[in-house]
Amino acid sequence: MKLKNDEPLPAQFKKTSLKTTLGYFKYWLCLSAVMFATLTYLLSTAGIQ
Amino acid sequence: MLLIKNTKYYQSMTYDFLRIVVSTLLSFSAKLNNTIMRIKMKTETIRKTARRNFSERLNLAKPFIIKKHFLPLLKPYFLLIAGAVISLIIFSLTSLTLPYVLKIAIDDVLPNKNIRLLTVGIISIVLIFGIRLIFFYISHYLTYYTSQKILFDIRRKLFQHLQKLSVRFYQTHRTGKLISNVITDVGVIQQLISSTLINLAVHCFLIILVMICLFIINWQLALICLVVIPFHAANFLYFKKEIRKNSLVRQEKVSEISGNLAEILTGSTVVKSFAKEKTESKHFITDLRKLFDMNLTIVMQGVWSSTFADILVLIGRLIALGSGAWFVFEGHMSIGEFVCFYSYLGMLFPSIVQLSSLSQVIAQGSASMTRIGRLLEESVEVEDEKNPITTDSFKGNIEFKNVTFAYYGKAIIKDFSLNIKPGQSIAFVGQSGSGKSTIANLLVRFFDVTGGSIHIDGNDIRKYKMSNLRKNIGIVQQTPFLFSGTIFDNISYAKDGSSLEEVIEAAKKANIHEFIEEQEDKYDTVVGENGVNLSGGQRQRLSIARTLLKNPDILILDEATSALDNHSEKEVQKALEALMKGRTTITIAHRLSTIKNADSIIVLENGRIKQQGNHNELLSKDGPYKELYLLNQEGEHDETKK
Repeated sequence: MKLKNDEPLPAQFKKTSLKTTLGYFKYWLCLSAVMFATLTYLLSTAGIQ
Repeated sequence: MLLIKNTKYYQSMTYDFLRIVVSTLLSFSAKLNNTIMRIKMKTETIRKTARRNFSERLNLAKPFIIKKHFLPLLKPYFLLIAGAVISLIIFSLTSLTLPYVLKIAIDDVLPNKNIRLLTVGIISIVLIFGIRLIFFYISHYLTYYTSQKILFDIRRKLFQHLQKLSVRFYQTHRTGKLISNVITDVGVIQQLISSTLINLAVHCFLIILVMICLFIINWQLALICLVVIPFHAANFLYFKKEIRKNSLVRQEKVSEISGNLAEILTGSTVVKSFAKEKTESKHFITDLRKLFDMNLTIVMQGVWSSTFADILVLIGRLIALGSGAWFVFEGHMSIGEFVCFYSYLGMLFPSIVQLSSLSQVIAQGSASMTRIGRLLEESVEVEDEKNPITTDSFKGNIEFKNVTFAYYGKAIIKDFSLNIKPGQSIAFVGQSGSGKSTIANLLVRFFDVTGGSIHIDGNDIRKYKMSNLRKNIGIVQQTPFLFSGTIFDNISYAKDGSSLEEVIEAAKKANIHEFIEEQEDKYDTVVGENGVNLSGGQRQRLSIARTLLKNPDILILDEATSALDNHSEKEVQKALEALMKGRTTITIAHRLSTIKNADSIIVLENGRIKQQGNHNELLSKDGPYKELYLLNQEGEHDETKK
C-alpha cells in the first residue's frame, strides 16, 4: 500500500498494555504458578532447614 | 710441554668460541633491540594516528548523544521492558537451585540415607526446570519483541530526519556513507539490543544473585574470593573503552568504503572509458586491507579481554579452593556448604567472562549509536515556521526584495530585486556561476535567503507551509531523475492516487504518449534505474508529463533543453509550451533560442542584474545579452554545419 504524502505517518507501534502482555502468556503463567505451588508444598513438607 | 701446549690451544679455542658466541649474542640483541624499537615506533605512530583520528571525532562521540536520542525511545515500551526484566530475574533465580540441592544431598541425604528427601529433591529439580523453561520463553519473547519495536523506531526516526535535511546537507555528505549509516549501523544496534542485551541482563542478574548466595553461605570466604571482582570490572571497562574507540574509527572506514563503492558503481562508465578498473580495484583492496587490520585489532582486543578474564577466574578458583579447604578443616563450613559454595563460584566466573566478551559488541553498538546520534544531531536548516500559512494554490505573483545569498561565505546572489506578475514568463540568462539556478533553488526553499526576502502573492515564502509551497511550484531540471519503476509510476508520482486517464492526458500534453503506446507494456514499461532504458529527450518529456500532472501555479524550467540534441529539443519544446500555458514561468536558459518569447529576460552577472528587457529590446542595445546571443548563434551555426 502506498502512503499518500499528506497522510500522517505510522508512529511507533501502539503501546502494549501489561494486561495484553499478561493475557498473551496467561496459560504459561498459570502453569508456572501451579508448578511453583507444588514446589513450595513439597519443600515445606520435606523439612529442609 | 705438550700438555701445556694443548692446554693453551684449548684455551685459545675456548676463548675464540666464547668470543663468537658473545658477539653473535650481542649482534642478535642489537637486532632484537632494533626490531623492538621499530615495533614500538610503529605502534606509537599507529596509536598517534588513531588518537588523532579519534580526537577529531571525539567532540561528536559524547554519551549525551546516546542519552538524548536513544533513551527516549525506550519510554513507550516501559511495561514490556519491565515484564522482560522480571521474567529474566525469575529465569536467573532458577539457575541457583541446583548447587543448593547438591548441598542437601551431601549434608542431609547421603549421611542419613534419606530416600524421601532425595525424591523431593528430584521432583523439585524437574519442577524448577519446568518453571525455568517457561520464563526462558517469556523473557526472550518480550526482549526480542521490544527490541524489534525499538529498531523500527530508530529506522523511522533516522529516515524521517534524513528527509528533512536540506539540500546543502546532501551536497556535503556522500550517499554511500548515509546508506551505511542506515543499514550497517542500525544492524549493529540490532545485534546489540536483540541478543547482547538479553545475555547482559541474564549474566548481571546471575552475578548479583550468586554473590548474595555466596555471602549467605559464608561471608568471610565470599569476601576473600571476590577480591578478583574489581580486577574483572577494570578489565571489562578498559577494553570496552578501547574497543568503542576503535569501532568508531572502523565504522567510519566502512562508511567511507561504502561511499567509494557507490561512487565507483555509479560512475562505472567513466572508470571503463579511462581503463581505470585496475586502479580502482587497487584502491578498493587497499581500503579493504585497512578494514581487515582494524577488524583484527578489535577482535584481538576482545580476545585479550577474555584472556585476562580467564586468568582472573583461575586465580579466583585457586583462592576459593585453598581458603575453602582451610574453612572446612577448621570446622567453619560443612563439606556440603563448601561444594555448594564452589558450585556457585562455578556459575559466577563464567558469567563474568561472558560479560567481558560482550564488551566488544556493547562497544561496537555504542559506537554505532554515536554515529547515528551524530546524524540525528544535524540541524534542519530549512523548516516550517510555527503556524505556517496553508494554501491550495498561488495566483503567481513573485517578488524578490533585496535578496542576498551566500554559500559557505561566498556571496552568490547580491541585492537582487525583481517583481514577476501572475502568468508572466521570465527568463534568466548568464554565464555559468552567475547565480541563475540559485534563484530557482531559493524560490522552492532548497536553501533560505541569507538577506532580504522572497514573496509569493504578498507573503514571505518562509511563512508558507513548505509542502504547500513546493506542491504549487513545478521544476523541470536539466537532468531529470526517474525512479526505477514503470512509466505510470513515474508520472503518477506527482499526484497521489492519480488515475490512468489523468496520466495519459499528461503524457499526451507532454508529447510522449505516442512513444509510450509503441512500447509492448505501454504505461507498465519499466524505465530502469534513472530511466536508463530511455533517451534524454524521452526522459525529459516524461518529467514534463510528471510536472503537468502536478499542475503547479508557478513553473521553473532549469535548463530543461540544454542537454538535448536539436531534434529532441524541438519535441521537448512543444511539450514545454503546453506546460507553460497560464502559469507564471521562470526559465533558466543556456540556449537563447528557447527564451525569445519570454515577457522579460534578465541577464545575470555575478549574482546581480546586468540587463533586463524583452528579446528585441535587449538585442537592439550593445551589452552582454547581444554578446551572448551572437556567441549562441555561432555555436548553433557550427552545430548545423556538423
